[in-house]
Amino acid sequence: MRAVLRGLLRRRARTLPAMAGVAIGYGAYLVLVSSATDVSRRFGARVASTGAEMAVRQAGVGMAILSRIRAADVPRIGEVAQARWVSGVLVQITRLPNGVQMPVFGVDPGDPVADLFTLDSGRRLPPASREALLGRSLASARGRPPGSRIEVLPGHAYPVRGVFASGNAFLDGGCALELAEAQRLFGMEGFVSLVLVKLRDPARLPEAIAAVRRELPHLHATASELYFTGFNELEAVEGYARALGVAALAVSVLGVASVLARNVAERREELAILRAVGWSRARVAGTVLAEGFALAALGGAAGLFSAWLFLRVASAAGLSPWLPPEISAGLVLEGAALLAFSVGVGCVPALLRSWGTQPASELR
Amino acid sequence: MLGSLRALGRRPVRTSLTVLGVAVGFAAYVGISASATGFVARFNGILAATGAEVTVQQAGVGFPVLSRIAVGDLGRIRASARARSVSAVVAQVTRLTNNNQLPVFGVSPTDPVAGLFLPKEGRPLSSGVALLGRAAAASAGVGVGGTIEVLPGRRMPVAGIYESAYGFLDGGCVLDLADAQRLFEMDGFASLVLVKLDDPSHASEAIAAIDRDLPHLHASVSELFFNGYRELELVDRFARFLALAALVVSALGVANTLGMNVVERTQELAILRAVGWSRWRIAGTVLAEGALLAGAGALLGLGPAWVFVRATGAAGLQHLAAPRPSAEILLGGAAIVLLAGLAGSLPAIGHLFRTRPSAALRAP
Repeated sequence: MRAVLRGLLRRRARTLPAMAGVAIGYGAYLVLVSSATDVSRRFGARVASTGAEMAVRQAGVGMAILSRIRAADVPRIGEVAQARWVSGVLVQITRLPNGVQMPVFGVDPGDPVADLFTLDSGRRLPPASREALLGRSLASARGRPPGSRIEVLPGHAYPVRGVFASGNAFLDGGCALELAEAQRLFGMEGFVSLVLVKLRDPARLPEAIAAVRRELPHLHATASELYFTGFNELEAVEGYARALGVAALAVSVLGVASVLARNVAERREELAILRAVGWSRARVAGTVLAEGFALAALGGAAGLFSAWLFLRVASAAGLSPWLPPEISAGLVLEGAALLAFSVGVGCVPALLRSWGTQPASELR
Repeated sequence: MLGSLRALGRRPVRTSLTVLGVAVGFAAYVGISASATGFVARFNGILAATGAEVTVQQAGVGFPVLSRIAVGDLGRIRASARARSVSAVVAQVTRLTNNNQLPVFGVSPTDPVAGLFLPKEGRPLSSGVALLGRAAAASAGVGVGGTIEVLPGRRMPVAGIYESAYGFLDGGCVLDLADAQRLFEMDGFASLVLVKLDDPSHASEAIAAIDRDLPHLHASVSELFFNGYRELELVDRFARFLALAALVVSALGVANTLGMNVVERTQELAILRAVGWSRWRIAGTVLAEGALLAGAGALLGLGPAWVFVRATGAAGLQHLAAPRPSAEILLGGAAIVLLAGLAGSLPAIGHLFRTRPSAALRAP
């Protein structure tokens, strides 16, 4: 291995760009795929974190935020699904004066779902409140502690009663109002966006979903964690990101292939001597492969660090609701396996060249 | 140029790998740029194409589809802005049975804005029917004479198919305004109001007057409407960053190849210097090699880029992606690839300038 590294270092001008290429390719793969993979599952996890096994929205809406369910349907859903409890929640998105979006949740303070908004400071919302709770990241970004005011829509400022920390980036970037107040504010009197259902018997979830779909066909019921599945645009983004990631890896591996082919071409005499002193073809080929994998490993390590740094910076820049805070070990391994496979393929031209080395003719 | 071509042709494996790398980089650049950048410009372009100088939405909403403007406000908007005409538009997003998103617009058939939806096939817009964009018709597998389920249980006959250069329109569907208001329970409301002024040079005064007289609304110049949507800008920046990263990796490949070519030909180039070629003339041949590699890669990348963009549309993102890469993106990509190729030549030229002919010719 030391000889391999020495060989690579001898040709620094060639090795470093190829390594940088692998770092960019592998880093891009990790960032792209980790950002786009399982977006629907990650968003669904936010719904599942409410403790409800089932979530219901209006059928056929293009965005979850556009769902409108009549409040009168909420108890009906509870009956049909044989629920322990049902919660109607209003979800809207407004825009702060700096152009940043602010999710707004309307919840009934007496509902179990209100427990999601775990208070960090200040007090809980009482029934019929005309105050707001702010998520910790929103409160800190906007400098709005309890006692200050937040303008939820232009001309509609609310006193901040408390600050919550749910541990969920989407919730913590938003603001919660009492349900009736949110309905008034958004002209949605008599409507909610989403109905969360806690079943008496969670094992009966498929039957409950089927019952809601049958009895209330204008609504769409799913398991909470699958709330965003079937949104083709989210799944298409995943495929798109994966294709781009693989393209980035492929381009970088072409650089490795080129460097290895050149290294072998330069060292034909050296390889011929090794063959002449008894090294087998396979052993010589092994050194070529080792060079390729050493390049990939060094570039990959740099790429992993760059991707990790990028996600941290992006998270600090306020993209956290959409980007994962970290790269999963599974993805690191998957990318590494893909990189290793690509490098293996990229080594083929160099291997063929080294395999064809004839000691007698080369040494002449 | 012939000499450069010959030099590249002498090393077909290396040249092919590099051209392939540039082609993948170029395809990724064009694909990413066409589908994931320019959202702000594309959405602004749609509003500008309506011919209205000013667009009004509810103040503070996160998306135009969440905006609700009382139709009663139209007269006040017209009076405040001293407008020639005002048009109410409903904009919503639903989901087809195949789970692709379907933007739905409601416009009055007699309104100038209906000119955006002139059918290429079938009849013009009227009450009780829908017109589909070409991409939406393809996605839904529906033609003139068929029906489209705009919301579950709400089928409408398809009277015509229109075409638009804007993916969001081409991937959508238009209904009579009153039909759309009924369908989306927006009776008495519009999502957007488009304002056509008598004197377009008075747009800023009209905007100031609307914002002053109707503070619950937000008016802006149509072609700047989406400026300041932070999430669109962030996606744009992220995509541009990725697109450039793809080209940087390609440039590294070009640099590597040219570097090797020059090192290999040190003696040959020294002879050229010895017989009177200037450094600049030799550097010119290296630059030409870089440009040739980049140009060939860009040409080869055109096909995959086209496939990439089409695949994005087919994957259910037809309303978000540009229907085809614009000439601006193609030319911009080609120019950047060429620049990357030339930049990739620089290390090789540096080596060339550092090498003295006498020393190179003495080398074994």
